[in-house]
Amino acid sequence: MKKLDSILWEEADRIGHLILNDPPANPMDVHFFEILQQIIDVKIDIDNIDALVIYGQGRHFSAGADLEDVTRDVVTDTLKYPDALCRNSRAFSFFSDMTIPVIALINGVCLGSALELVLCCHIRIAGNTALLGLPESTFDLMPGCGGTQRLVDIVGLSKAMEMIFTGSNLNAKEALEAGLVDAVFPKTNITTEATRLAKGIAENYQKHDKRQYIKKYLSGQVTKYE
Amino acid sequence: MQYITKKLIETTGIIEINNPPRNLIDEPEFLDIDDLNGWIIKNSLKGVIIRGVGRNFSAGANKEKFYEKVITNKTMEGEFSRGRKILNFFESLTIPTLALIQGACFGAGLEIALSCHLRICSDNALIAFPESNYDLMPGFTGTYRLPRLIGKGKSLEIILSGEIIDPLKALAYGIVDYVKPKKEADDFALELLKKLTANRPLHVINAITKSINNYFLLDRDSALKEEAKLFCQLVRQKYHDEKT
Repeated sequence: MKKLDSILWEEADRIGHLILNDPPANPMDVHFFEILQQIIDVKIDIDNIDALVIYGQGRHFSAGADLEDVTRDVVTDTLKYPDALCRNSRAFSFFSDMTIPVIALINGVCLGSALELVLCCHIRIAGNTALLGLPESTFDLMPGCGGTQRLVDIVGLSKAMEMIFTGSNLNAKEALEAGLVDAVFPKTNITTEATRLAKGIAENYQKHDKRQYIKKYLSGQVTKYE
Repeated sequence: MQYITKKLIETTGIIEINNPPRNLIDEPEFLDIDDLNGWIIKNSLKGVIIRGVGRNFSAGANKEKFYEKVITNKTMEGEFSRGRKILNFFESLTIPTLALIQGACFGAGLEIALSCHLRICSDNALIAFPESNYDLMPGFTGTYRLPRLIGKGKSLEIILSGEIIDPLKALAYGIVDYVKPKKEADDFALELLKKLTANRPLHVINAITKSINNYFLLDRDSALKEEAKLFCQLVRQKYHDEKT
């Protein structure tokens, strides 16, 4: 029996922390996606937080899904596929659709579906030893949780095709050059940097919302008494 | 259609615009889709390079011929839409496509290059949408594909100015993905396609390329659903292959 807390949810100082908590690999298996859905449904309340950070416990972000597990599940149809996979994909989309900033904080390896989750974040910052990639094609498979869409969106068609077809990884410096991550910090103080960034951005988002509100107010979409 | 020649280098198909020296496109329906598709399937091609014969990629449409046709021929719109279909077909191929741009790549020539996944240009390339210099505009999907690739502002600049862009600016603007010395561009293009596809079975290349194409053709949630389906197909195929 797996422990129930393979993902932790914490709130501190109006920042939500989603922590992948099954070190060292923090794998994304069926159990992981069940817990993730529960946290999305029950725990995350954007009235309580102004920003969200996602990271892995220990040295790595996550090594992604175990392809042998996935193969077994798909072939035996334990869960209904591709419906089950679409559910996972929608769970990831939840983060890209959030109206507060979502920041991924990437230490160590971040591969396959782990990178697909990271691609759903609005901001990606990496520790200087991070390694990012979509290795699926080297197993005669392909990304299945948004990788073929969001990677194109973020790094452009040419770089995305190269990464997806060759399955080769980018280190932190290469990821920065490709625009896959927005900033690189020494891994020792990345948590501090992420939290600082989250707070700063959260404030700006609030200002932005206010501006939107004033704009609407001036254009008559909202009345004075709302 | 007599202006297109096709060659094979292993599993890479080379399509040449063969109307030198300028490789002008004489008619909108410049290529036979069924013929091209049959050729790709018959040879189990893993990638396609499109290029011009000789020094230029293509200096664009043959203005005199196009102009005369539009004025005298009411069915021209139909002919144009068939031409557009060729580029849409090209864009939806499920193997990587690459435009190898040398020398002039103007107007319709650039529109052909924009319908490929990747663009490599040699350091002697000249790129432009010159139509507005003649009080015309790109009419072959250019005003749609260029903004999608590089954004509205830079597209307006290029299309309204009609100015020629040099390779480094094309690279900086994101119109081309790589600039290589003239002598190396050929080999680099072949090597790049090889790097992407040589170690991958054709069905994997097809599934990945199809999913990536969907990014440009479908809304996000439909594209994600299709991706999940394609993924499961590959998983089942892999399991089947390993068992037998």
